[in-house]
Amino acid sequence: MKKLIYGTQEFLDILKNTLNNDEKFRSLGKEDYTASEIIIIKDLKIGFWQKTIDGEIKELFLIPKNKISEYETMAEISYYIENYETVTKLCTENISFIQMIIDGQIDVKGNLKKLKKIQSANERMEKILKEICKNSLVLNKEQYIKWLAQNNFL
Amino acid sequence: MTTEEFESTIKNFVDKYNNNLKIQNMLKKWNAELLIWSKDDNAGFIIKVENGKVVDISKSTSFNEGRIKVVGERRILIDMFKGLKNPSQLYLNGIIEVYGPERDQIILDRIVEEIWG
Repeated sequence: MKKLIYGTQEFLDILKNTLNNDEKFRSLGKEDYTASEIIIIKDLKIGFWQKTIDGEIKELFLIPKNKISEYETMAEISYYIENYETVTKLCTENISFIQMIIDGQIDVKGNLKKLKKIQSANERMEKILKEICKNSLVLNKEQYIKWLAQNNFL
Repeated sequence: MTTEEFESTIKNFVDKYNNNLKIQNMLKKWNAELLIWSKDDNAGFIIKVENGKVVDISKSTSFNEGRIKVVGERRILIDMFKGLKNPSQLYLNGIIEVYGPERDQIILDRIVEEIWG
């Protein structure tokens, strides 16, 4: 059976559908979670875009290198991650997104009031992400770059 | 609600903070100066943090001090540091103001969550 690969569009689609069908996530996000967020992986110059309205994720996709600036200007909250290895820690290690911000591994800019409002839903999202990761394959950096290039993200 | 109560409340909070091993472990690389500013008095306190530990608390009459500033009425700040009012709600409702880098503000949230849960 083909294994889901962490960081691909297929992975993001499954994450989005799982979250939108998760009652707890939807209830935590209802009324509070309306936001446009971007995660930028600095060494690869690509990113992830998430648009959420009233607790429902409407858009979750990979942003190719040539569109990063465009999406960055549209985001209300931007997370900057130094490198791909740090992104994989979210999947493979028992470390939280917030802890990585505290440690300085992730930098965050933008609307802090909004960030506070969406924190509980984000923690639920992280839990579900880690669950999906258990059955996923995490590529090394070289393999992931190859996949990105083959799929026109670089 | 006197300035003496304000000072003793902050000191009690700092004791809780410095004695919380989880926080100390989490913030061991954090260095910061926080200004807690009372709008009633036009004065406040500077809390100096080195490697996650509060090493000094001093009175301040200059709003220019501190990388992070928490601003509010003295009565509100006292209730907040006693754990009687939720800082996130106070901030979201515009009752207190917080200025400073995003990372520091997220750290403040985490501290409050750990201490008052």
